[in-house]
This record gives sequence, structure tokens and C-alpha cells, in this order.
Amino acid sequence: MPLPGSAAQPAGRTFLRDRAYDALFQAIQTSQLVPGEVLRDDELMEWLGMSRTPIRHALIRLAESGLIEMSAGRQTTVAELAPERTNRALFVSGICNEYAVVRLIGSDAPGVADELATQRAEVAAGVEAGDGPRIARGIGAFFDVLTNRIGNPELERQVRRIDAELARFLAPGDSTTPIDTEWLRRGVESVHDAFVADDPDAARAALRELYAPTHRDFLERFREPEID
Amino acid sequence: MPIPKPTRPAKRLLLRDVVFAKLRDAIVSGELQPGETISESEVESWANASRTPVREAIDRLAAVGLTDVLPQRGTLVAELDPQRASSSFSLLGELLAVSSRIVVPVATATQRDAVARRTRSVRSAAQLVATDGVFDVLVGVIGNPRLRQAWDELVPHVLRTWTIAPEHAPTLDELDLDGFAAAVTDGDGDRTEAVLRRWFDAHDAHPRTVLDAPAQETI
Repeated sequence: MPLPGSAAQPAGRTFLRDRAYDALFQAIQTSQLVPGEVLRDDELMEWLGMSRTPIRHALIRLAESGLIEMSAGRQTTVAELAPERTNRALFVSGICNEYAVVRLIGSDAPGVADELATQRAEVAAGVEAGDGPRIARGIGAFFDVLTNRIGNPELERQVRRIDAELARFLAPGDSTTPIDTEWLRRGVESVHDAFVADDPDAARAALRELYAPTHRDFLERFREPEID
Repeated sequence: MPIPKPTRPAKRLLLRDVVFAKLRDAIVSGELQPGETISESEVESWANASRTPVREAIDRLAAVGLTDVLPQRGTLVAELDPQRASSSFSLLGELLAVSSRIVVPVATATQRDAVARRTRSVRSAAQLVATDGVFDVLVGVIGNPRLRQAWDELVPHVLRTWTIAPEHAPTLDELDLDGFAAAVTDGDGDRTEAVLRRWFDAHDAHPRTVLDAPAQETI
């Protein structure tokens, strides 16, 4: 596989395995490593300038986030862009957001409404500029304002991981169906309006609306029940 | 060790996944006690596996918070963390309630029946969330592998705390099991969601927001 230039860096205070993870994550995110590309331990060892153990740690974490494929008796490869993964991750992400929104409504948490307004404006600016990644970052940041205030470490852990999984699919070259960005903007605005109005029912309704296409695609195409 | 009935599609298992599952189940059941040392060589002979898969399994246990890796002392089974169990329980409720609302209306009769049938023998909260319990089967019916992954990460913290320290386990008060079975059987997503929320909310001690009073000790 053609590898990006050396990622070896002077040893800092970080764990080698974290550096390996970050370097691989970045390389996948920026399409230096492309879907389907084979990852060989010895080449990664040379590229990253470290031994097999931290690299294996990093690969396992990447596999758990769905960024690479590791399966018994097969080569390790960069995962193909897979709309089912994006859809299923969005499904879970939507539930995490609903949990956060409904719990924070009416709490008068200081600064939350202002921070939400800032991200709402960012989403709107992204829509005006036709800048997909900017819209996506804005929506992510909008909901992060809420999930970070709940004080539930399990929620934060899940959201962090799912955000990492979703980030990949916002990179250039994602082939998922085009999204009506105006409609996304309206969705975020409805959630924000419900939040400002202290109306949990309206917030749930706005979130259902925002995630309706995700749910529809899930039920029609991506659901995989464990029993028939 | 009793072999659970397979409800999930058979798929080629990696040895590290098998070792991981064995260790996780031993930690959840209390067979491996909080604070107990996990020695790689003992696991190798106990699980009849070689060093690499054992190491990888042990790493994953640390990643999901079931073990702690301490300098000079090796890998220890994590101490019970009722706070973490409480945070997990709170999120599990939302995951299950919302996804049930979405999926129950389109589930097949066989799927709905598989869930409803399991409500008949429920005697404890642990039986609801355990492998092959009502909620576990419902998650299988929902059929989102990413939700399954999150569920499987959160449940061991809850189940382990309830098993080893039963005073933290919620009662079945506020759980309308018959109403739940009927709602699922009727394919009524909104009613299923409402019954689930009522039970989870009644036993959710996680503070509503960070601004609320400090977290309570019990779940």
C-alpha cells in the first residue's frame, strides 16, 4: 500500500497506541488511506516507527469504530464507505441527542441557549455557503452543547465514539444520497425554538422530524433483525 | 458453563471475541471479583487460547471499563461503580424506548411474539436486561448493529452491579409487564415506549442535569 510520509514524531507524553490511532484516523479521514486499502503490520510499523503491540491496539480501536475491517483469516483493510453504517450510527446519535435535549429543557443551564444560537447561526451560514462539511460540523456542535452539559459520562463516551464514526462519512467522496440542507436548517431551528420555549414535547417532535429520513432509510434498507 | 441459546446470526467468531465474552461474563457474574488480578498466563490456560488473542481481549475489557490497568500491578477487575451503572441504566432506557417506538410497529408477528413470550417468566430487573432476556431480545428485533454494540457495552456495568450488590437493583415496581407485552403484540410503538419510559424513569437516579442535586447512591 502507498503510505503517507513518515508519521513518526518525537516521543511525547502520549501513549504510543494513541499516536498510532491518531495517525491512522487522520490518514483515513483525509483519504490518504482509501477504502479497501490493505493495512499490513510490518508496513505500519515502519511508517509509524513503533512496534507491533501499540499498532494492534490502535487497529482494534479503529475496527470497533468501523473505520477498518479486521476479520478472521482475512487481511485488515480500510473499511469501504458504507451507507448502512452511517445510517445506523445516525440512528443511535439521534437517540443520544433526544436524551440530552429533553433532559436539559427547563433547566436554565447558563449559557446553553446562547451557545445553541451560535451553532444555529453556523448551520445557517453553512447552508447559505452550500458547504456540507460546515453544516455537518455545525449540527454536531449544536448537539454537543447539550450532550456535554448532561453530566452523564456514558452518554459522552458513546457520543464521542459515534461522532468519530460519522466524521469519516462527511469527508469528500461520500456517496450517500444528497441531503436537503434547507430542511436540515429548519430542523435545527425547530429544536432550538422548542428549547428556548421550554417545550419538551415540541422538542421531541422536532427531533423526530429531523431524524425521520434516517428512520425511514433504516426501516426500509438497513435494519437487520437478529430473528426473523 | 451453561451455553446460551443462540438468537443472533451465526458468524465467524474471532478467538479474541470468544475470550472477551468469557471474561466479561465471569466479571458480570462475580466469578471474577472486583479487585481480583487477571493474569495473562492463567487466562491463556483457562480459555485455552494463545497470548495474542488473550492480550487483545484483556485490552478490550479495559477499554469498556471492566478492568483497570495499574502500573506495577497488572490488570485488575474494576471495582464496582454504582455511579457508572446508574449513568448506563439511564441511557439504556432512552435507547430502548425511542428505538422501540420506531421499530415495534413494523416488527413481524414472530418477532413481537418472541419479545412478549419472554415477559411471562420475568421475576427480577436482572432478567430483563440479561442476555436473552426481554430487553435483549427486543434489541435484537430492533436490528441495529450499532445500537447492539452500545447496548452490549452498557449492560455489563448495570448487570454486574445488580448481581454483586443486589441492593442497587431496581424493583419491578412501575413496570406494567402485561401492558408491555400487549403493546408489543399489538405493534403499538407509542404505547411500548410509554411503558418502558415509566419503568426506567421511576428507577433512574441519574440527575436530570448537572445543575441538579448530586447523584444519589442507588439506582
